[in-house]
Formats: sequence, C-alpha cells, structure tokens
Amino acid sequence: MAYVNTAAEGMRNTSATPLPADATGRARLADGFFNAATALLKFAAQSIAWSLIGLRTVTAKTANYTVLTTDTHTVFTTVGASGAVTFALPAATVGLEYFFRVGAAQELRIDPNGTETIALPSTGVQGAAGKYLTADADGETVRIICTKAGQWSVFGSTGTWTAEA
Amino acid sequence: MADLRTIGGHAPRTVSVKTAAYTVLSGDCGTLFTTEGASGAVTFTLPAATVGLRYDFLVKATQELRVDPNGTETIALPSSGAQQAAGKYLTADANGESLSVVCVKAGEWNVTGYIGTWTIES
Repeated sequence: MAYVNTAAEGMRNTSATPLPADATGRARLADGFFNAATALLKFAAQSIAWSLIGLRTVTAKTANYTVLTTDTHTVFTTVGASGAVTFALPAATVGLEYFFRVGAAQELRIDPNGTETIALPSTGVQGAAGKYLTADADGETVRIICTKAGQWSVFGSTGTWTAEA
Repeated sequence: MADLRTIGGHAPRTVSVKTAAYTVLSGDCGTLFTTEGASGAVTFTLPAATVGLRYDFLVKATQELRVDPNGTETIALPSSGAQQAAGKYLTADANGESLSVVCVKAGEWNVTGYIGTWTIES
C-alpha cells in the first residue's frame, strides 16, 4: 500500500492496484483523519504566524453590521459606503477591543449593546445608556476597549466623534 | 483543542485593576491597567524601556494615575509627543482618561494614543 502526503488532500493511496473494499473504507477513514489533521495544523500555523507578525484584520463594511466577539482586535472601515453604517457592538466583555476608521464621507456609528455605554473620545466620560458614537469625515478613527463589563473606554481617536443626540 | 483563553483565535486584552502602587513588569507587556476603586494616587513604575514593550492605562477613579519611567528614562508628553525631563512621570486624574505607551527606542516611552489631559510631574 503506497501513500503520499499532498498539501491539498492529505494522505492518498498512489498504488496502481485498487484497495480491497474494507481496506478502501479504512483508507478513506484515514484520508479523512489526515485531511482534518492537515487543515487543523494549517489553521494553527496561520494563527501563530499572524499572532507573531501582529497583523490586524481589516474589514470594510458598507451596510450595518453586528460586531461579533470573535471580531476582537479587528479594524472596521466604511470604505465605499454610500450611506450611514451602524456597527452594533456585542455585550461589552472585559478584554474585547475594536478599531474603527471612517472610510467615506458618511456617518460611521458605533452602537453599544442595549443600555450599555461608550465613552466620548474628547473627554473619556461614559455617555448616556445606549447612545452611539458617530463621525463622518474620511480618516477619523477611534479605538475602544472594554475594561469593565457593560462599558467601552476609548484609547485614542482622531477627528471629531460625537454622541447620539 | 480550542484555547478557551482566546476568542476566534485572538487573545482578548489582559485588563488588570490596581488600587495601590505597582511595579510594571516586562512580562505585563500588552496589559491594560486601570485604577477602578482607587482611593488615592496610584503610581505605575515602568520597567526599563525596552523596544517593543507596550502598555495601556485607564483612569477609572477620580484619583491620580501616574506613569513613572524607570530611573532617569523619559516619557513623552501626550499633547506634544516631546520626550520630557529625565525620570518625570505622567499623570491624569479624571475618570475615563487613557494613555497608550510603547517603547520604540531604548530608554524612551512614546505615546501612541491618549484621551483627556495628561501632564508631566512638576
């Protein structure tokens, strides 16, 4: 029985003689395990590489988007937006971090979850319950981190961010 | 096996609350320090400024939060970016003020973001 490990498909039977039925079943099962293991290793290697390099994920949104906890550390932009774009934040959980960059001359709104709050960048003071932050000039940025459940603090901004009236 | 300390493969920021003076460790790199619950000034003494170290600070009480460079090392004034006098600390005391520092040159701390009014030790 001859096998070769391919990058795309994992371990494959390369012999000219077809395998017996039961052996083929076992081989397919083995193929499945090898493919799964290969995919897992690739994912792990990529995650480690990104972590070591420190690259951030940059995601452009031109329509409203519900931000996920799994988006933590992502940089969201609105490049190409033709109208206001609202980013609805997940429940503020300690350690979550997001970056936003206005990418068009349209409003970018950052909306806390339910009655949670977000700080006004110009003062650092938490805003009213449930009120969003907004900016609409290309290039304006803000970085927010949750340091206390239910609240978002600001760790740097450019431009003019205001709270929902 | 999934690492429960990560979210989507990314580690959430480490947030550490201090209500008394604390000597920051190089091993704390990447940590976000806050002063929630502090009843007096809290001084964070930085480790020797080594390229690549970075920290964030958030005032979470109406008390001074001081960021003190190691020995005669220096730290930039957030409003100007200019390195200050040897050994002088930065301070802020309003709830919500924040500061992000990183070392890009041995012996010096640069500011990469801030909120509020940070002043230098007089």
